Amino acid sequence: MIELTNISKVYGDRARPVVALHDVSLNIATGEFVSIMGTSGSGKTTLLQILGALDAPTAGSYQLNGQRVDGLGDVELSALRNRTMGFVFQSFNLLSRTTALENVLMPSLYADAELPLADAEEVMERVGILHRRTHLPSEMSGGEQQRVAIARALIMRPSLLLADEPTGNLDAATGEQIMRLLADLHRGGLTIVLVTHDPLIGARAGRHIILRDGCIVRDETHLSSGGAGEYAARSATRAIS
Amino acid sequence: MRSRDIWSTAYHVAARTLRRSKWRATAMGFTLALGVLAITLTVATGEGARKGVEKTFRSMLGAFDILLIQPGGPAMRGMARPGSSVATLTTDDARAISAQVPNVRDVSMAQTGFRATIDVAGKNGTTTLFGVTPNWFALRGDAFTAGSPFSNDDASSMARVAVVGSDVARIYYGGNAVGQHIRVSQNDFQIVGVLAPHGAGPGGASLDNVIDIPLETARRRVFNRDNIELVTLKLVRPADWAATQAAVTSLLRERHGIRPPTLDDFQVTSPEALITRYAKVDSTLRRAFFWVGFLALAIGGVVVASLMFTAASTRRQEIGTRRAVGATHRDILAQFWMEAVMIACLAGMAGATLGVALTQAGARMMHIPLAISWPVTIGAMAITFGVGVFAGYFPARRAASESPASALRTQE
Repeated sequence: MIELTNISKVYGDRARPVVALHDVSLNIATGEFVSIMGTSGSGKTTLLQILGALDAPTAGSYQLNGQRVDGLGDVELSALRNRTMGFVFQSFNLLSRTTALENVLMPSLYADAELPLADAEEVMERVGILHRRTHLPSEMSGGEQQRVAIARALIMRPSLLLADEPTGNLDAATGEQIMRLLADLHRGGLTIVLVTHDPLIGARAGRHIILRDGCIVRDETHLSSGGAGEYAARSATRAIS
Repeated sequence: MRSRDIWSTAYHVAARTLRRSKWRATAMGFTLALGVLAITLTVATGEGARKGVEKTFRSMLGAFDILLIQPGGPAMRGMARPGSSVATLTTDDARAISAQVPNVRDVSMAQTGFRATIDVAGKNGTTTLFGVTPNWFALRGDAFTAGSPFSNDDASSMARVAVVGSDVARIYYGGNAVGQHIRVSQNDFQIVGVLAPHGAGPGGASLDNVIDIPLETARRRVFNRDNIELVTLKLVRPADWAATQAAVTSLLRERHGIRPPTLDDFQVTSPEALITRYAKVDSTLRRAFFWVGFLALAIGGVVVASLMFTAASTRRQEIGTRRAVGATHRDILAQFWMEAVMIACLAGMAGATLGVALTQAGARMMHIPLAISWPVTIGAMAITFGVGVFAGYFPARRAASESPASALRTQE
């Protein structure tokens, strides 16, 4: 599904370049659940943003479902994000003073046609937040807000879900519920790429990629994601330290 | 490649955003609304003043489709005045104009005598005595509350008949004046008609303390002179008054043997020119307020622009999120631009509505002469729209210029 070849990303000017990603190559197959881990500054968020077509690599090629992504224009990239990808953020990024339902429907504003309410309600039902549909973000708990954000990410029926520290602003129990939800979605066939600095969270994925200083230093696949948590946690800790 | 319309999406998004943040929108639009309000109100008072002046002049002159010719050169400005003794205009001049100048439907003449004495059964006072041609009344559109104007026969026979103003009829006869005799400047006249009231003239004095007698009677029996003080021309096409004014001027200069560089010894005025001269009196202050309105619009533009710039940087998370879910660069530009334009439009409408409401309330409750000038109000709204378009564009471009990644990166 995803094919990154020799991707580099350099910020800043020529005089003082900051290398965020250095020659990263990575394939992700449809249906994988991948976690990208690393300390802050390791380039994991940059990698996620390149995967999400939010940022363009400085060098290298990116193919998604056989289509070249690098070199696409703004309109094509926006359409790609709208139709193919769903985003989940650490701080939920819901519009304040806007109901849960309207937040969920937001992506359809930028689609060919605005989706009917029923579609939003269906996806809210699926993530267990339908009972909050007329509530404002300020009236909801963090976990509930993140469920609304996940519903928003799913409404356009994307094939790829990109999550940047989705549990970062949640307590452990609530984070666990969100991770369980993501695991359910993965079992339903969704490809998920998750960025986290938390090894325990990262361990929930079937494949762990560890970045350091813009390079992939470890890429491990586990047959069963659930039981491998402890091992992944240890290896991740080792890799980082 | 997409069927959806960026601007209709932007309209929906901006409308929702404004509904969510009414106070921010109000703060942004306030100065603009104030500007439109100031312009509407100052022009309303100006229009009102002009309408008021027009009204008093109409009651004095009777009609607006006329030209007035008075003796005396340009140095002697204004209406016929007491002691206006420049003897340069004659009945022959008036007849020549009637015969030779095109676009003239009718010509009336008047001699005036100020402070003519009235003496009626122990009551006496002063009045303004006019010797006028019989068509004077019709030309002015004068209405009669009793009796009728004197006839051409009265004029040619130098009859001792008079038409009196409503004040004269009321003060000396208690109203029933027709058929009564009145002694004016040691001459006896029989009253044949009473004029409907006119009210106050431009100077504030009553226009109803007048006595009109036939011009021939006045020339031969009262004033004993041939020169006249006022010739009134009724025009066929009032719009062409300027050409007629030029034709009259050149004819009279020729008749009076005036060559350049000698100035005219008469003056041809249009009611429009008179009104403009009078209405100008208080216009300096109004003009100042008018420019304050424009200044407010300019400041309003700066307010909108700066608050939109602030929004562009405080709402980066929103921008990033919208970009992430599929909004294009142009979507964000259109959304922010639309917000500014909608605020400007709403502010313009609010200012205009308030201005119109205040004008009407003021006109009704305080009896101030106020009149809305729709072209100006609509013009002010159009300028406000333009201000919104201009002031919104640059912040919108700033908001849209960032890559989605950097807009999202600032969230923590």
